[in-house]
Amino acid sequence: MQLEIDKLSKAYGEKLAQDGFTYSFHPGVSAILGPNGAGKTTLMNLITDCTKRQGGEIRYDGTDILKLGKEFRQRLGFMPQSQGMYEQMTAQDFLAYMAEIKGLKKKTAAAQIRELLSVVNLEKAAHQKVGSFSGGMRQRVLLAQAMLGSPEVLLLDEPTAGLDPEERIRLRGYIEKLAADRIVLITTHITSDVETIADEILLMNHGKLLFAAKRGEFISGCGAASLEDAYIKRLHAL
Amino acid sequence: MREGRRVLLAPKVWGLLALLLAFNLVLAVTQDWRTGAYYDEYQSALRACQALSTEEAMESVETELSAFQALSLLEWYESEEDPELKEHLRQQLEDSFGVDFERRIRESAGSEDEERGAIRMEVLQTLQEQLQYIRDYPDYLLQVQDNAEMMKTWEIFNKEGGFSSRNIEKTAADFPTSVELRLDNDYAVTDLVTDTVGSYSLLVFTLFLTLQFLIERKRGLWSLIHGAPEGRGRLAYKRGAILLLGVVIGTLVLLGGKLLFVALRSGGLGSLTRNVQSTMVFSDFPWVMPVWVFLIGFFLLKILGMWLVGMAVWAILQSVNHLPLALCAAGIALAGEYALFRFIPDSYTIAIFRYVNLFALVDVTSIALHYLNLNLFGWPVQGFLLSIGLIPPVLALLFGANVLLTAREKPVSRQNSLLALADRIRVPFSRFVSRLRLFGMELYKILWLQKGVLIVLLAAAFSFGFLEMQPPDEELYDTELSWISASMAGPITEQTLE
Ligand SMILES: Nc1ncnc2c1ncn2[C@@H]1O[C@H](COP(=O)(O)OP(=O)(O)OP(=O)(O)O)[C@@H](O)[C@H]1O
Ligand SMILES: [Mg+2]
Repeated sequence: MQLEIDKLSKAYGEKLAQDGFTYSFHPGVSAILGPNGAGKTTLMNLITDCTKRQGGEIRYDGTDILKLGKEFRQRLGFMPQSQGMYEQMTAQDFLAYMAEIKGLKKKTAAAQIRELLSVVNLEKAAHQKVGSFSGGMRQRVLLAQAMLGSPEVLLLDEPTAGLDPEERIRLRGYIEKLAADRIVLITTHITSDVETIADEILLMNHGKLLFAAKRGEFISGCGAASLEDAYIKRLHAL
Repeated sequence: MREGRRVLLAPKVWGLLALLLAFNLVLAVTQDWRTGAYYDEYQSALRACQALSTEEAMESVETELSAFQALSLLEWYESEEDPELKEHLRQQLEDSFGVDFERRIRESAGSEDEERGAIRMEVLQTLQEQLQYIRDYPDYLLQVQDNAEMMKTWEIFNKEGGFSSRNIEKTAADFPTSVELRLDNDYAVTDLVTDTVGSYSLLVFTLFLTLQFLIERKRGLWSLIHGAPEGRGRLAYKRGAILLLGVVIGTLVLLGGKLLFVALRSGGLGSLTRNVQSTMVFSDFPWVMPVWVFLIGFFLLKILGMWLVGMAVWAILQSVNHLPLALCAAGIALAGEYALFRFIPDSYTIAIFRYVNLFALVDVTSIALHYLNLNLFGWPVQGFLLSIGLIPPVLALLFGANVLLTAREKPVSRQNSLLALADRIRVPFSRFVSRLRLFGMELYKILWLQKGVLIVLLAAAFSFGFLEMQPPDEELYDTELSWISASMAGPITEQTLE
């Protein structure tokens, strides 16, 4: 299980959103940090093939994901940064809808939905319309959706934005459990969320990978006391 | 199929369908001046005529009508103030009915009250018209054949291999030499095939369905679906099928519902086994078939045609990667098609664009009931057949295009260059908007931001179409008067002019 990103390039007009990003992801939690506009979301969009790539390769276990196509997408779970959903559907319906789009069998889907609803603590609201949900509740539905089909590669684009502290802690614990046998990519601006669970930390800016290291090394290697501290130091030292 | 449920069971989809049906039924009632009493009277008079031969029925209707005519003349005479004209009228009445014309006319007209009399006369006129058509149709068909024979002898048409001669021959060959016609209640069938409001309502419904496929383009959701294993080509196949199912439902509810309504109101569909040519609007329809066969064909054609229109609009909407722009593109395309459909005269060589046109399928009966051969490289091709012959290949093409577009279009792409330009224009524009007072701002919000402008335009289009389609009602209400003056005008004016 290995996701290799190789000299990725992507430009929107003259703006380079990916500029030679190269890295190999392995099972475990990889946190991607970087300032706004660094290219984190673009990286995820390229992995989900939601935007056209201009150069480079993304390989899963040695084969380019564009070649794998559906086969790769079956192993992929994605939680986008924006919160678009079918507002008229209930949480349960929306998850069932996504399960169908993901090609899950009805029975498996039903069981997984039940489980995931309890994981994100939405059992009570399962039959309410998504449109009536608070930002944090929507976030949790999207998270549950990403985990449908227990994907090998999980992309979470700012999963904790808008969650209250209690939910954040719950989620952290859950992701940590998940990450044992899958590749989890998390982008976030809230360093405390990944401080305890990330196996490795990547720092990117201007579409480039600036620095990557195991969590301990990332923090202590630059003489910082916390991840937040390290982030600032490393971003400006370079 | 959750996607099917999402689209077809959405309350707003059913709401729209109910609204459109209600609109059509209200229109059916308000636009039809005939009352229940009229239809009852028509039914009984029709049955009486059906028991007779065409000639006998014609005679009986005309006899009764002339009694009404005489009565009208008498009433005119009695109320006329101008002594000179009154004298003329008296002369006329005396010539036709003898000296005691007053008594004789009143006797033969019976003692019906005025209202019933008016209805009775309307009914008789309708039947007279129908009977005349049935009587004359064989001659009309013979004339088609005769024309062909005659034109063959004319030199300009007789050039072997020219379009004109081929066209004449084809026309003669297309039309039957004789058809068995039967007098019957034609109101429901006629309404079905001439109802453009119904057709355009179905179009509105179909367009609304295709819009449901684009809701996912709201940011974020599209990425979710596009990144899922079954969210590309497979989803497009499903959506094609969902659109078909939606169109079937829309067609049955809107057109079927209206047909049922009109049939119940006007006393049924008439015999389903009579040939469609028995109905006047089918005089230029060359294929002889019973009404029931036509009805099946009509609904099938409507469904396939609307499916195609929906698929075409969906393809346009999909191919522009920005929703408001996509809507504009689809709007422009439809407006262009409509202009071609509406304004190209038959005689132009580009008349083909009226037939190779989405609106030829929206309003399919208007081309089906209008016989026209197009000049296709010197060969006459019947316009209607060209239109429906193109349905299968174009549908296949559109299906493929939609699957491809769904699979290939990326949710995140570079900003549209048109939009980049618009952005530059928007800066000074938004400065202007910010200066508007509160009222203007609210208006701007409702009309532009909340797309109220679309509703206004839709309403305008509807009312425009409504106005245009309304038959000259005043004339119908006053048929009695206009008919009398028309039938009397000749002799009297001649004399009064002297
Ligand atoms: N559709 C687009 N069209 C044009 N430019 C874009 C588009 N999407 C992203 N960009 C640009 O690409 C760059 C990278 O954007 P991206 O969304 O990947 O950043 P990010 O690291 O996710 O930022 P954030 O932390 O704010 O989420 C930015 O400069 C952005 O302006
Ligand atoms: Mg982002």
